[in-house]
Amino acid sequence: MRLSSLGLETFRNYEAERLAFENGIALFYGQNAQGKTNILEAVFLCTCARSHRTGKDSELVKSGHSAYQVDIEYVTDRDEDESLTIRYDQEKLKRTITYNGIQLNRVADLMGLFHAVIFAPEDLSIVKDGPAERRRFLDLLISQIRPRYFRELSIYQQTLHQRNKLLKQIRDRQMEDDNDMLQLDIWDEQLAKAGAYVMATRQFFAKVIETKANVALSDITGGKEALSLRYRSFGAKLDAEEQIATEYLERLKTARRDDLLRGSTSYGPHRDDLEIALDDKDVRAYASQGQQRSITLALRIAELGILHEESGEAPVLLLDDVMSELDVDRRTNLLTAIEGYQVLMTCTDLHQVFSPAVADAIYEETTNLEGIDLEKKDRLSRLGTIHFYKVEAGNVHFRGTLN
Amino acid sequence: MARFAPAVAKLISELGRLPGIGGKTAQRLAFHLLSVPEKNALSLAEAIVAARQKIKMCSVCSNLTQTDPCEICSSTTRDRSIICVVENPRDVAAIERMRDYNGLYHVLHGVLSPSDGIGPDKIKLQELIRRLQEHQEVEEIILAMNPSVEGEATALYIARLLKMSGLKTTRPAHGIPMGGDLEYADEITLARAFSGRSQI
Ligand SMILES: [Zn+2]
Repeated sequence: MRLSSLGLETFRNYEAERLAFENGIALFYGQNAQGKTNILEAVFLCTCARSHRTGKDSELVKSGHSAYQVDIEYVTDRDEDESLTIRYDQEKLKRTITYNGIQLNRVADLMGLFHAVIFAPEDLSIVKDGPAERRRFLDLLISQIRPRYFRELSIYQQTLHQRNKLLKQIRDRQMEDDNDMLQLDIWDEQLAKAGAYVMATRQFFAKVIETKANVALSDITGGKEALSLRYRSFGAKLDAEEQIATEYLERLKTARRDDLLRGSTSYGPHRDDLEIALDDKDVRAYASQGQQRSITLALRIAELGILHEESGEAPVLLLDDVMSELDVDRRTNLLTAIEGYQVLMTCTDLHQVFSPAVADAIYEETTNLEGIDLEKKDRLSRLGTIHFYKVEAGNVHFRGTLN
Repeated sequence: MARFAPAVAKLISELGRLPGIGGKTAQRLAFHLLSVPEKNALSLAEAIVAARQKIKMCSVCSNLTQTDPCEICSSTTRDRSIICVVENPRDVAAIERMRDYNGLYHVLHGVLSPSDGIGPDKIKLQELIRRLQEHQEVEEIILAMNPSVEGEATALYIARLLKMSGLKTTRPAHGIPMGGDLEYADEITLARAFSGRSQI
């Protein structure tokens, strides 16, 4: 799919901004904290109604205002014009999502309409931080290609919340009757049903991602290390969803006494992890910073490939300051992997990414860039025309095009 | 925040307690009521009082009614062998609109939700059990709670409670989107959902 326009209203540090996109790369440059990332964030928001940086919508509203609105227009690879609007009203605590002018009732309906993959410095947390980050990576990816997954996951989380509340209530009352146990039976059954689907699906996609990420990793590093992604769960030993559900229900029954004491649920997908290892060594503990960065990149490239294959639509690529963090070889390899996709990227220092001639010409605001002799370093342009935009204090200025 | 005369402030705060009404809307409504002719505002007040005083819960099905038992419970043309259990009176209205169902109702006034402190004793479930004991002519119970997590749990809970009774318990099959309120489901979807109900 191809993004053709983006509109921002009182979003982050933007008052009102409208951008039109051509084919090729849209490159946003400027100092830190001017609003470059906010543009990519707004586009990403349209995939799942969630920022890649924060779970709080209120942080996205420009200070002094009560609502934000983001809208995009895009053309699918089936050549259909579509549009999405996401609006959040802080006072009413209400989010409104509109698709082609029609209001959607649930976030679940948004999933899978517009595809974008974001590469951001924060991605490193998938490899470095706790299990929650890896579950989130899996959940967001699968939700975009399996609408049912997002639904079952929401059902799971809501059911878990209800079961935990009931456990606490029974514990605090210090007495229990048949009704309580019957209620727990019901929540257990629903939890096992939704949870088994979540576990089975995560397990399946862990394998799919592993295969793709391995290819991407050896492309990036040229190395021969084997990357393995193992879904860590009691369900991992079982194949079919029904088997997992049966086992899960069994565990919930066995653990009920403990769960009643703790006031929370000890088994389920909310406790699972995706173990990432390089040549059988856990990358959290044993991989270097450089290796961790390469693995993160490989995971995102795998995500890109899976989204593209499963949906039949080429996702829009959002690269948030990733070029400057990579050495020239890895940068080249990344560029090879993303060839053919529409790219929106940010860059803090143009000199890190372009030859002095190009960088200076942009900084000096030369509008005619045609006479510049391009160097090898400028091979970013291999991906197509680059459109430069200067971002300054919540304003975007078009600066020129490099062919 | 501007200061209002006590009577106005009281009106705003009462309106603000209504579902879906925020602070700003409450103010707008309050000033609207103060600007229209007095008889219009009084007529609204009287309508509220009349509704509150005349409307009660049907002693049989717990639906809101002006007569007890309600029109549906006292009808002679309704099929008394089948009871459709719903969450709230609005669901009865939604199902009645499609004119496809000719049985009786039972309104629970809620669903099981531990996080809201709602257990089986907080909804009209005892009333349903007692009603079924008294009325042996009932053969089928349709559990038409909304397909939310809590609605599903409530349906399952009731089905489990009634398991030994020999009553047939059914749940309207699919057609109603998960998380979509019964009330908002369009009538065609609702009709399809009812014709395809499955036993649970
Ligand atoms: Zn009645």
